[in-house]
Amino acid sequence: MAPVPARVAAAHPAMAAAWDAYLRGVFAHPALPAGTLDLCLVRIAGLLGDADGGPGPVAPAPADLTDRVAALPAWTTDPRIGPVDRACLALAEQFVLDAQALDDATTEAVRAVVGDRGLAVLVIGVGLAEGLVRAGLALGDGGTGPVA
Amino acid sequence: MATVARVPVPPEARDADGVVMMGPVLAALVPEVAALRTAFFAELTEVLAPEPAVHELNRLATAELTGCRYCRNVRRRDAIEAGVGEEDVARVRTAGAEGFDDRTAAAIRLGARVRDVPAGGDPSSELPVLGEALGTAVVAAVARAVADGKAIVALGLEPEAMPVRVV
Repeated sequence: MAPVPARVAAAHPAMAAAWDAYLRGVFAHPALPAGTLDLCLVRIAGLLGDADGGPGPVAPAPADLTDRVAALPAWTTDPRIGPVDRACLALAEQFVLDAQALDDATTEAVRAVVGDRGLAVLVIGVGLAEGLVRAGLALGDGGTGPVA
Repeated sequence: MATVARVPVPPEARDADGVVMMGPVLAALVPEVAALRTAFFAELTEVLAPEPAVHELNRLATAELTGCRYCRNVRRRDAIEAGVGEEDVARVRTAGAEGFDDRTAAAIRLGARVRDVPAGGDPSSELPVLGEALGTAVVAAVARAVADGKAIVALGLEPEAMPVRVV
């Protein structure tokens, strides 16, 4: 399933294909562990009030994604959320709630585990995730859920 | 708020005025991501081209949400160039869709459904006025503006004395 809202894809197929390719390229980027950005997408969908949990996985889902998604309600303490996911989720939450208030400690925690490339990919990916969820909500195109 | 850039800024990312552009920053660090972003922007730009004033008004409103200081400035300039009057620039920043003609107001209200918290709602009052082509273009454009504006802020590419241009 394409993550881009179906109404956008129907009205603007070439633009939607480019948006879709951008999403998939970022979400599957090797600078981050598999599934980390999809985990952030589910969290962001929850923060923005998407009852469907987002459009479903953007990148190929690793075998443990279902467990990691199940751990999201207690992501700061649940052992199924590893240190990389935890650092990335902290940044993703602050990005959505108030990007201006994102502090250096939060970004440094991400850089410490995934480096500069991982930090850049995470920030771009989290922005794309937020935009994707917002677009789906605005068009009433919620998607299939976090692990379809 | 960042006081220094949080990712390396190569010399080629600065123009003659010292303005940092996010595209070259990404190109140096994650070129494959930068290429995909450029390809998406190229397609989106074509979609937005027929209605520049409507989209610039939504960009102005979105810059208020993201808090991107440079976006606020550059969006005003681009809106004026797109034919938006000074009064409308001020109005969309302070009053949203109020006072605009029905079609423009519908586009601004639909944009607000994307950028507001909580996002969403029922777009059935806006989409019939705008049509699918313009309505979905508004949604895609605002989603992109939210993503990039907040990314600039998060990557620390808009500290004091380092304005940033999105290209």
